[in-house]
Amino acid sequence: MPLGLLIQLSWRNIWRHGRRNAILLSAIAVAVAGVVLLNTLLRGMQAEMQNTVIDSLNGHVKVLKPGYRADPGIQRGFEIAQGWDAALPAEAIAGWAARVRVPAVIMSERETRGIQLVGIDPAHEDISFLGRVSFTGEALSGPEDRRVIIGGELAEQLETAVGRRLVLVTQGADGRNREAGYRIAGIFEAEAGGLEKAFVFTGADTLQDMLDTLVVTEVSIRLADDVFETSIIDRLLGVFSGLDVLSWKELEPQAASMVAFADNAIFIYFLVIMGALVFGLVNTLVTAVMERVRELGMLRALGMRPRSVVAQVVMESSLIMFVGVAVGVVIAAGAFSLMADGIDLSAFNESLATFGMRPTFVPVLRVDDVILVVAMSLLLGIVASFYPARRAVQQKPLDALRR
Amino acid sequence: MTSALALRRHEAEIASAPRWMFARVAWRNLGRRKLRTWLSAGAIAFAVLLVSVFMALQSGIYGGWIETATGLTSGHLQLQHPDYLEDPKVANAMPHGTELARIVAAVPGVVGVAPRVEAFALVSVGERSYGALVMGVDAEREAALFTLPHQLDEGEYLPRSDSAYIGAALATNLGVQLGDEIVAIGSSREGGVAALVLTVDGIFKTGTADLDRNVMQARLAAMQAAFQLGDAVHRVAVKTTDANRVAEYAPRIAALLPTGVRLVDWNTLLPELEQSIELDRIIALMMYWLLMILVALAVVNAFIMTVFERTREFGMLLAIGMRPNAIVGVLTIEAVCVWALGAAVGIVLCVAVVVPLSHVGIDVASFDENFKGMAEEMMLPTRMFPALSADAVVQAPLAMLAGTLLAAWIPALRVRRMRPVDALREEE
Amino acid sequence: MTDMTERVVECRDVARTYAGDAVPVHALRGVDFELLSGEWVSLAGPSGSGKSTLLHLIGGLDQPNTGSVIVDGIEVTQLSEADLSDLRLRKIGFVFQAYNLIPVLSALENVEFIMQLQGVATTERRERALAALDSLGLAELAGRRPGEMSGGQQQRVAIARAIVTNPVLLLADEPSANLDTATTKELLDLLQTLNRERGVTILTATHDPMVMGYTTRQVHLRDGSVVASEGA
Repeated sequence: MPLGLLIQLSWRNIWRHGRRNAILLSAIAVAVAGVVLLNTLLRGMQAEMQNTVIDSLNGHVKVLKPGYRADPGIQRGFEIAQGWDAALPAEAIAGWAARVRVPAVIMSERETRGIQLVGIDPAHEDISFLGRVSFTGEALSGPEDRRVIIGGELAEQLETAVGRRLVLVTQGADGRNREAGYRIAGIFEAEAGGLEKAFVFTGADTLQDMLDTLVVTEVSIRLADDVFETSIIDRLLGVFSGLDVLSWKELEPQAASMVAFADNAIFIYFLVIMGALVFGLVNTLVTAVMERVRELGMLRALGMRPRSVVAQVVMESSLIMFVGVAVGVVIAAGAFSLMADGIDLSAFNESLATFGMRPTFVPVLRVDDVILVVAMSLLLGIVASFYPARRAVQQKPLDALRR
Repeated sequence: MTSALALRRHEAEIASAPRWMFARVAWRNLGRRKLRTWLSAGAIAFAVLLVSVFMALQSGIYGGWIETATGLTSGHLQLQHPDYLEDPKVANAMPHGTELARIVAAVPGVVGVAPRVEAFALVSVGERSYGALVMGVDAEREAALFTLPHQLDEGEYLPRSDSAYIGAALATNLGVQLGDEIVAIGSSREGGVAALVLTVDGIFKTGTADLDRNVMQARLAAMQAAFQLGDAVHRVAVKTTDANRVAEYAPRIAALLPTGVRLVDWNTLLPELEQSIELDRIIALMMYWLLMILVALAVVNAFIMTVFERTREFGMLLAIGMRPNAIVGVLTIEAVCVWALGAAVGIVLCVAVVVPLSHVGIDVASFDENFKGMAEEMMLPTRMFPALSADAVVQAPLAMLAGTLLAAWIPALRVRRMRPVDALREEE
Repeated sequence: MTDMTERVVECRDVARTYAGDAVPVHALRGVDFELLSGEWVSLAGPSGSGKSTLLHLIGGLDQPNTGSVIVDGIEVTQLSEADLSDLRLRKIGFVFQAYNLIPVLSALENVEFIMQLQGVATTERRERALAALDSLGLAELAGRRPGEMSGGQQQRVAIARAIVTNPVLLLADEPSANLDTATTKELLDLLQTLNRERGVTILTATHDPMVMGYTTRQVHLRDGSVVASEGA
C-alpha cells in the first residue's frame, strides 16, 4: 500500500474523532513534556554535582604525585617546567592552576582547627570556586601575597576577622614543622558551606618560601568540554611522566556514582510515565479499530492485504504519537526557556549543598536526551499499536460484512 | 384512600428501584466493553501500584538513610548546652553528665544514652601535628548504641583508659601505627592547656573523608580530666526505638530536664539529611502527579468513547423519560466500579510485592553498579527494606478516585446537553 | 470482448458448513454452478437459502469445506489470505448492500483508492477515476464525501469503483436493499447498460423481484441447493 495513501487515510481517520484524539494527544504531550522537563531537572542536578566537584579545586583532571592522596604532604610534590602547557590543545582547555596544598593547623588567639593550606596564583583560580566567591576584605593580589584568605565559617569558629593575624603550623620539605603568622586579607563566602571550613589560601610563592621548596603538589586542569577528558589525560601522561593523572571521577568517586546514578533515574522516570500512557493509547486505538470493523472488512473485501490493514493502524498510532511528541517537545522547550536562567531552590539550599549543589540551579536541556525520549516514544507508539492492529487483522472480511 | 396509598407505595418502589437498576445497568455496560474496562482499570491499577510501591520504597530508603546517618554518632536526640549547637566550644558544657544520662535513660522509648565530651585539639607525633576533633566517650555505651566503634579497621575499640581510636587518614597523616603514642593538646575549660597522652589502640575507616581525616575518640574520663570538665559533658546522644517517633518521645524527655539543658532532635542535628529527604520527596511527588494526570486522561478518553458509542442508547433512555441526571448517575456508578476494580488490583499487587520484600529486603546493589558504589561510599545499607504504611496504600487510590470521578463527569456533561431526537437520529 | 463461451466462474460440488451454536449450519450442500462471460446472473432464494454464501465463495471472501471454486481459471480453494486479497483486488468488483465507501475519502478518492492499491500511476489513476465517475453521471459529485451523498449516489460511486479496474466479474450482494423503488430502477438500468454495452459479467444475490426482470439468467437456491436455473 502506498505510503502517501496510508498517511492520508490515517490522518483523516484521526480527525473523525477530534475530541477523543485531542485528549489522547494532550496526554502524550503532557507525558513527553513531563519526561523532558524532569530530565532537564535531573540533568541540571547532575551538572551541578559535577560542577561542584570540579569547582572544589579538583578540575576535570588533576596531576598528582603517586601516594599524595594517601599521605598528602610537601614531600610528595613535583616541579613543573615553564610553558609545560604548550603541549595541550588550547581549544580543549578552559584553564589550569598549579597549587601547593598541605595539611596544616590554624590557630587564632582562641581556637585551633585542622585545615588544608593552599598556595595559589589567584590569576589562575578562575577555574575553581575561588573565581566566583564574594569577599569581605580583599582577595589575594598574586602568588607573592604574604596574607591569607579564609572562609566565613572558619572565621566564626576561630573568632577572628579581616586584618587580624593567624598562626599556621605545617610540615616543611625537610619534615620539620614550620610555624608562621599571617594576616587575614579577606574572608570569602562560598556557596557550599564545607569549602569555607576546609581551605585556607595564601600566595603560592609565599607558601613555597615557608616550606623551603620549589615544588607544587598538584596541577588542576579544567576542560572546555567533558568530551576532551580522555585525550587530555593521554597528553598529560606524556607531559608528566611518573605522575598520576586522575579524572574528577577518580578523585571523588562518591559524587561520580551519584552522577552516574542519575542516568538510570532518567530511564526509570521515562518507563513509568510512558507505561501510564500506554493504557490510554491502546484503549483509544482498540476503540478506533472496533468502530471501523465494517470499514476495515470492506477494505479487506476490496482486496486490501492484511499487512496493509496493520500498516494503517500502526500509521494511525504513529501519527498521533508523532504529533503528540512534537507538541510535548514544544511545550517542554517553552517551559524550559522560562526556567533556563535557573530555579531558585533556596528552600532546599542546605540539602542541595550536601549533594554538592548551589541554591539556584540551572536545568540542563540535552539534545541527546530529547532525541532519546522522542525516539523511544515513537517506538512505543508502534509497539502499543501492535495489539489493536492484530484485532483489526483478525476481522475476517466476511464477519465484518455480516454485522 | 387505600388506592391512593397503594399508588404512593408504588411510586416509592419506582423511585427506589432505579438505584439498584442503575448499578446493574452500569455493571453490565462495563461487561459490554470488557477490554476497555480492563484497560481503564489497568491504568488505575498501574498508577496505584507504582505510587504505593514507590512510597513504600521511599519510606524504606528514608528509614535507611535516617538509621545510617543517626546511627553513626549523632543519635535520634541529643541533650546539649543551650549554646553548643551554634557555638561548640569547650566551655559550653552541661554539669552533672552522669545524672543527666541516668534520668534520660529511664524514659520509656529510649533505648540508650551516650554522654560525650568534644574538643578540637592539635594531635602530634614527634614533629608532625594535625588538627582533629577529639571525642571523649563512654566506650561500652558507645559500642552498644552506635556504628562508628564498629567501623574498626585495625586493633580494638578503646580497651584502656588511655586508648585512642583514630581515623585511618589521620593515622596515615601522623604516620602512626597501633601501639604508638600520640599527644593531643587543646585548651581546657578554664583556658589553660589541656594535654593528653594516648596510645593508638584502634583505627577506623568509614569511607567518609571528613571523619577518617579529622576525628579521634578517647575515653570520657580521660578527656574530662584533661579538659578540666569534672562531670560535665557536651552532648548526651539518645537512641530511641524509632527515629520517626521522636516527636512523641521528645516531650517526655524534655519534661525531666533541668534548666540549662537543650533537647535537639536529629532533624536539627542533621539538617542536610532532612532536606535531602524533602528534596527527594518533592521530585517523586512531581512524578506521581504526572502519572496520575496521565491515567486520569486515559479514563477521560475511555468515557468519551463510551458516551459517544451510546449516544443512541442515551437518546432512547431520554426519550422514554429517563432524566439526564440519572444517566450521569449510571456513568458515575460505572466510573466508581472501574476505579474500585483498578484500585483493588493495584493494592493487592502492591501488598503482594511489598510485604515479602519488607521481610527479605531488596539487594539494591544487584540492580545497579553505580548505586552499589554510591551506597558503599556513603555507608548506606545496600539492602533496603520497603515499609508498607497506611499512607502509601490509601493516598494513591483516593487521588485516583477523585481523578476517575472527574474523568467520568467531563463527558457526562454532554449527556445533559443531549436532545433525545438528535441523539436517536445520530448514525455512524 | 472476451469469448462468449468462456467460463468466468465454475463451481463443482461446493459445500460450506458453519459451526452453529448447537448444530452445524449447512449453508451449501454440494452446489454446481457456472457463470459465462457476459452473463448477468441473479442468485435468488429466501433468507438462509445459501445465495450469499455462494456469492462470498465466488468473491474469494470465504472458502468451501469441499468442492472447488474456479474464478477466471484460478482455483480459489487453495489460496492463502494474501492471495485471496490479490484475487479480489485484480479480478473482482464488489458492490455491497450498504457501507460501501470509505467515509473519510471523497467520491473521487474512493474510486482512485482501489487503483492505488493496484499500483496504478497517479495521472492515469486520476483520469480513469474521473472517466468512470463521468460515465455514470457522477462527475459533479467527485469532491463529496460519502456522508454528503444520498444512498443511491453512494451506490453509484460504489459501482464506479467496482468497474474502474475492469474486473472479470462484478459481484453485488443485495445492492438495492437500502434504496427506494425509483433509485433501485436507476441502479438496475445502470447495471444493465454496463452488462449489455460494455459486456461486464455480473452476479447478484437478491430477493428483490425487480432485479429478476433485468438479468439474463436466474438461479434459485433453497436450503443450500440449486433448485432451478431459468433464463436465456
